[in-house]
Amino acid sequence: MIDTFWLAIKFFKREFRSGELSLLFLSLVIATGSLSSVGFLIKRVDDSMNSHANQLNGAQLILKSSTRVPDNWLDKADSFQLEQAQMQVFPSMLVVNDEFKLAQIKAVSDNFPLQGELRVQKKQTSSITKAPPKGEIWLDKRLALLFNMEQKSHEQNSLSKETVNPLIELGESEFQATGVLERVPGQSSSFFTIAPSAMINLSDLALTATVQPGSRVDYIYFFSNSVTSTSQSLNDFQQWLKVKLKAGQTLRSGVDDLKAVNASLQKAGDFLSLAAILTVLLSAIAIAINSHRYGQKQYKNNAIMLCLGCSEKRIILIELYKLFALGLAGCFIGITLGYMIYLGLLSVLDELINLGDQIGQIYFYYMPAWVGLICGLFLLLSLSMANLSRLRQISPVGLIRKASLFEDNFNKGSMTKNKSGKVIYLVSFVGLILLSIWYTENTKITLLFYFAFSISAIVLYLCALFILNIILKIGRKYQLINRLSLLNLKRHKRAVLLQVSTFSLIFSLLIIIFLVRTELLDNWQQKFPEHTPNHFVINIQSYEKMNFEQYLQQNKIETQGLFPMVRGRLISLNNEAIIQAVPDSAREHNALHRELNLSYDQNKVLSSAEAKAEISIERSLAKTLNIRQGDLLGFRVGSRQIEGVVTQIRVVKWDSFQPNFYVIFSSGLIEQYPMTWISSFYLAGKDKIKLNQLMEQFPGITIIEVDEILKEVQFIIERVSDAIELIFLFIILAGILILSSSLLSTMATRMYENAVIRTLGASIKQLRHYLFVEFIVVALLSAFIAIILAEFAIYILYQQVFQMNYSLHPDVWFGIAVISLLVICGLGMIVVNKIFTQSVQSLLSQFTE
Amino acid sequence: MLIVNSLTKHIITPNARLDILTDINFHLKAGESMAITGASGSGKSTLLSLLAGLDSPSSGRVEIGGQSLAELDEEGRALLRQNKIGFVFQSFHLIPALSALDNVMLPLELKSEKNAQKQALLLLERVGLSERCEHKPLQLSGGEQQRVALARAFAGKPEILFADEPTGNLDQLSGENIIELLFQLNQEEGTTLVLVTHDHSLAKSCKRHFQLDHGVLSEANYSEPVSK
Repeated sequence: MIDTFWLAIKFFKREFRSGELSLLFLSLVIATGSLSSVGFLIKRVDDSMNSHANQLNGAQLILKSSTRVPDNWLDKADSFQLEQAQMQVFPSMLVVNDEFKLAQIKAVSDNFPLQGELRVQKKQTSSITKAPPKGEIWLDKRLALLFNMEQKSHEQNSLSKETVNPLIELGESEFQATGVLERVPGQSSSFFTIAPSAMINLSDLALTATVQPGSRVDYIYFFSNSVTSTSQSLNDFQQWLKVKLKAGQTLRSGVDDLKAVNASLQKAGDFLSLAAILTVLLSAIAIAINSHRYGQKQYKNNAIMLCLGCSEKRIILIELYKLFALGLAGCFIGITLGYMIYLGLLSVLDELINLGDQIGQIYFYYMPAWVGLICGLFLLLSLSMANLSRLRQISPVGLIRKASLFEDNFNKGSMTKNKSGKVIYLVSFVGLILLSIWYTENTKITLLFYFAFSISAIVLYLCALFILNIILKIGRKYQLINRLSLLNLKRHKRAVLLQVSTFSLIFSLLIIIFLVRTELLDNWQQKFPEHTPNHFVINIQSYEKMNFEQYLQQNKIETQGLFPMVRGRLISLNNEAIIQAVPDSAREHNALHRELNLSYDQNKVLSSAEAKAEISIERSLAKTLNIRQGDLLGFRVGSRQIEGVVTQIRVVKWDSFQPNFYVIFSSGLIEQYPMTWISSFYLAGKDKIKLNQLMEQFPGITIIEVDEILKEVQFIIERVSDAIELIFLFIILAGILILSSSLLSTMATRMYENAVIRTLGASIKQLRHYLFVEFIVVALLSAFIAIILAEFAIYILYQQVFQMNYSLHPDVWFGIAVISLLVICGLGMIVVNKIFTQSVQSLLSQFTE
Repeated sequence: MLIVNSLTKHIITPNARLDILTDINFHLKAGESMAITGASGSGKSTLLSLLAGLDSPSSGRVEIGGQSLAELDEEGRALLRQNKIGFVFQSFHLIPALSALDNVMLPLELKSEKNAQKQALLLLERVGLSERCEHKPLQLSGGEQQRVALARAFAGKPEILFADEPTGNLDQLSGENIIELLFQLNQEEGTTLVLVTHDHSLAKSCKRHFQLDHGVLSEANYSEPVSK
């Protein structure tokens, strides 16, 4: 055993020096390099997105509760060495010079926020800080304006120099207003609870006596990992906490909290997963091509070893040791290379994926490195085993004869004749899918991708065969192509088919990535055009509706219209109490324990007074509560009960920044109940002053400013888009390398055949012409098949994953045909040029035993 | 038909200059047959490559049918091979992906000859393989492969045929059959034959017999050497 090991190492060194292993080694380095660099980059982008989400949230984990949580929960967080901060939010009146204003009071602990920026403007200077000092109150821009704390002529919202910090009464205490809140983390947790807000220190709260037993207060607890805690601590605490939650308590982390951001980022995440799968698949192709080529080259050596009395088992062991040594060396160098590329990208694009960490700090992730190592080793060993398994089927003499006749059998499809090889390839493919799932952590998109890929690949391989046969027949009959070019194509029919399959796969993957990326970006840009609504208005009374609309019109404020809103609680499903009617898993769902905002469709009128009201319900809520079309839903609105039949299950685009509702009734039923109206509109920063006029004219309304959140969403999306472009470049690079590998793998065949044909009198010009025709056919056929495959895959991805509208992409077709011609013909002629630079004699002698 | 004057071939190694062929001189009339024998490594195959224009000499001159190879560029030499030269190799050098028929048709198609298929079929019939014309080389025995190679060599109606150890990879019986066929076709077609072989009895079948020893060629039938 030890002898065999050392023998294998000796062979490995010898083969490595002689260059026999170089292509396989190179493909492994490139494969693991791209796998790990993309992996590092994806992790980084993921961290970057989460970090931004945390900054928006103010912490990594947020617990929101309508009551104070038991002390032992906080003690538990302490035991995990987590950082903690608290906020209590409640509505109260602020008084300045007998002027009363309703405000959302936020009492925060000293260390708030744990993450993100609490930005406050004091005397025209903006600074990032923690909670307000004792005895001080900070007001948001609108409250500051309402209390005339700044000169209205100022374009910038700021406390004017002339203004002496006014005293503001809150309950039984007085506070000095010393700052204007510019950015408050944690604002996003619920749009509809944000009213003009003011912030005080939590330790001042008791003195105000504003919170009494029975007061409606939201308790918000913030948790983040501390310097002393491990990254797992927060996860463990989150798991511990999850099972203890009761109705009225919610736990949120990362981007979960930001519904609007989440929908967009989910797509970005899916896209990154797709890019990761493609990287795995391209890596596998590169390794498969080169390991097969290497395996073929080993035939003769192994035959001789068999003849010299080495057992088959020992040969396989030697090969495995060699491959393992190669795998470890290749993966190590590949991962190091991948890490260096990633570091290089970080230094160039620091701003792009900056996490605020220091230069020189090691940004290393273990996961992508492990994935690179295991993927690389698995692919190398499994795909090489397919070749080794063939040793069992051939006698030494047959092996020698076959080896001496023609070493490079890649094009002859010999692998397909080998049964155990087939099984191993199948196992490798299944392994590849499992690895992709592990790598992407996205089972749905991975399985969908491989399913679409497998079906398309089989169908399109047959199509390629069919089309190639037609080309050969028509070409011969009508002499469209020179007979010798046709013969060249016929001679390399299997090679052409395999190349067409490989190239069309690569091109289709590139088309998929390109189109999905472009359309995702367009989609996002369309979703957040320049004047996306950045303010919501709620509590508009019905009698104010007309005046409100007029006001917006007069002030040229763009709006999406006004929508009615009635508060109601879902109480029954098909006449059964809702708690009993829904699945166990849904019983703690928030929608069952609070009032929902119901609306009605102003254009959809009931056909008759007796008819049941129709209900349109949001899809994810319907799915969670197991509500189907035709179900009867009961609501309590005020003291009365109303019913409606579900006639529509609707997809709501939460990332649209438009007013959205879980439940919409047909008109004719809920209009009779007390209702308010909701609207959203766009207002540029310089026009903020208009908000105060609006508040003065309609004092009862509540304005929710989401411009800061919207800015953050746009920032994150731009960042993800840039990352996607980078990954796109990686994939193109991997594709080009595979093209070269594939061509190089047929080089031995081509060199041999062309040397023979040259002895028969073919000129180099003729040979170039035959090769050129072959490459043109390969290029056009590959482009054709790639387009069909890509359109099919995109159709499925759009329908199943991205929920985007599908249409054909004829503009891309021409482009891909040109690129295919340029790349395959250009690269092909460069790679095969070696054939023409050597003398016929030296070429032939390479193949003569 | 074939005139060789002061032909030399050497290669430069890191340590020294290695002379492979030294001052080779001879000429061969049309229709003559000549055998070159010599030990392994004596330079036989190199000489054959130079004669056929597959490799370039360090100095000297080779003329085939009055045409100096040195005066031709690669394209010109290819055209010469196409029209005047045939080859038979020890390792057959058939194209594995093509059938026997396609292999034989190849030189005819390079010359854009009409009825290439008909002519190739006739040749395969002459070498006794008309039944196996659709078989690929791997499906044929060594002897059969060499017969296909012979048919291919004669397909272009060459004026001169170079055969490099044509029986080297065959058993005795197959070898004898091939030689018989080679001489028969040679006679029928009136081709000039240059044969490289280890086999002295085979060499004696040729009209002239040369020996190559450490790059120096001498005619075995005569006492005086033909190279200085």
